[in-house]
Amino acid sequence: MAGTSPADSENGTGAARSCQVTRDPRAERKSSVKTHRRIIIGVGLITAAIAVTEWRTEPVRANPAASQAVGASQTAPGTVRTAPPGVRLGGNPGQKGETYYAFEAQSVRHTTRYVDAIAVSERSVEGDFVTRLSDLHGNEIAQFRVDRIDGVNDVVQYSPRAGKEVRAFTDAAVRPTLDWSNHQAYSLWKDGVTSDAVPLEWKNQVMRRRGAGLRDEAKEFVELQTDWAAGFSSKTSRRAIRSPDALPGRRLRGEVFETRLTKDGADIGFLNWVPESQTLVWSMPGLTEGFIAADHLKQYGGWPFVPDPAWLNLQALAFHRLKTEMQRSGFVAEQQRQPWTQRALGFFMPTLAANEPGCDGLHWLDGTVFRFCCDIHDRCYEANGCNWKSWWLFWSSWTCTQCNSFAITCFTVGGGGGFGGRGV
Amino acid sequence: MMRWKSLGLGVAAFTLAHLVEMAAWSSLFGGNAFAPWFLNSSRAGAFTALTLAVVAALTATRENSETLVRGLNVGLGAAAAMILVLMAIGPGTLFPIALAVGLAIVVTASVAGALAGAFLKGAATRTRRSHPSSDS
Repeated sequence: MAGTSPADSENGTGAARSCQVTRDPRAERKSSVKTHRRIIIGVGLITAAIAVTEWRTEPVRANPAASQAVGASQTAPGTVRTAPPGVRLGGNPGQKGETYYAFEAQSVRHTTRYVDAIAVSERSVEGDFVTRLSDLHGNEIAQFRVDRIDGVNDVVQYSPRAGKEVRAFTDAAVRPTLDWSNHQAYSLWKDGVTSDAVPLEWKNQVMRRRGAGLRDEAKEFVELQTDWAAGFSSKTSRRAIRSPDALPGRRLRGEVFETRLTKDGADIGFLNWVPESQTLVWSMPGLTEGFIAADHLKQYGGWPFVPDPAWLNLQALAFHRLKTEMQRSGFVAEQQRQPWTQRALGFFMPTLAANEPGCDGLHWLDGTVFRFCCDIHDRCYEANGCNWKSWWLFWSSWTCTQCNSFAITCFTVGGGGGFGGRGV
Repeated sequence: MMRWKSLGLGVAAFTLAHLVEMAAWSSLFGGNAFAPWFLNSSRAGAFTALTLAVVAALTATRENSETLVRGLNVGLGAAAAMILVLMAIGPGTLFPIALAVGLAIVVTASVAGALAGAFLKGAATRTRRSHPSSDS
């Protein structure tokens, strides 16, 4: 009965057809090919439908506010897009947001040392960027200038010492910074661009000679120093790891990008980024210390971006600025005049109600496997607007209760996953 | 089952340990990153546990059951002081877990200290009995 379909059996013609098919192998093959073709076309249509649906809804899922924006844009021109409570507001993890650029704007000079050149970028009075590229002996190789016009039609001007000037508009995806200027000037020099006769193209937001091959930029980098306003300076350099067992329960491997933050020459603290172990360690004595590894960022699938020297320099300053501000200002409620009993109590027992990085009230566990539980719990609290009262006002938010249940389970199982980080 | 003197000693011992930690926090215990609190630094935790153990050992008697009760009372007194101190410095986002861990540490240290004190007292008594001339 090979080749008999259920339909054939039902209408009683199956036996006859099977006999015919048995007698004619060509017809059997033809029927089989037709069936396969129908299946392939069907599967293809279903796959295409799913793909199109995913593609259309992906931006909305990535940014829930966008769904409202779509609705708003379709209603009427000039309609105000509201952001109702409960809608999560924020950029995409891994992309530089306005906070990054606000800090970057506070830098006054970037000095990048490469293996064969030194690039120094500064801001001019009118907001333009001026970069001087020189060899290791201080001889000028080229100048690079970013003429900030309106943020969209910015013009870059590359003037090699041996060659003709090149002018071009920046790419729409490029947001020029001092670090980018250094990188761009160095790239043009390495590509041997000596005049506008050389064909250029944008590659990864950097202007390159058309067809130029990839360079190992990590090997070219030696050191980056960022000078900030008010005497702050951060410097990132590369070295081998000296203490691979510095973090309990973890072994660090490979090289480390070490960033030191200073103010008027006095050491303030450090950040260490270990690319191979995907771990960031920092210490600002009196302000903050800790580490973040890829397993702390599971919800983003690990680090959503690759920390580079410019980010490390900026993050060092941001740690200092933000933590100092938190220590200075505390909470808004604490700025109000308190009764003398509270002030007297505060003298002996300073209030520290902030959600600190690590295990609040259990910081001796910060270097242990329990740190993971605390970080996930902190993140969960931050994402859902919980606070310490959520423990006893458990009926007010089940999401906060879920955060707490996760923490208890995580502690109970010795730093394990608990609910697997759901809702975090 | 309440031993008010032991309870008071527990409160006093924990408070004293906390004040010492506050005074020497930056130099001996936890640095400046976090508020003085015995669970914010392993050294501070060990210091508090040792203080409670010593105080509980001083309350020990020759009777093991009475020693156990006194040790528990020292631990409960310390736990009461611990809760007050945590509320005063500001409960963190994990405060119930911190209290549970703290309770386990102070009660264990107090009971262990009391039992150790009883053992030492018993040993001292036995030594005196075996060497009566040294007492006279």
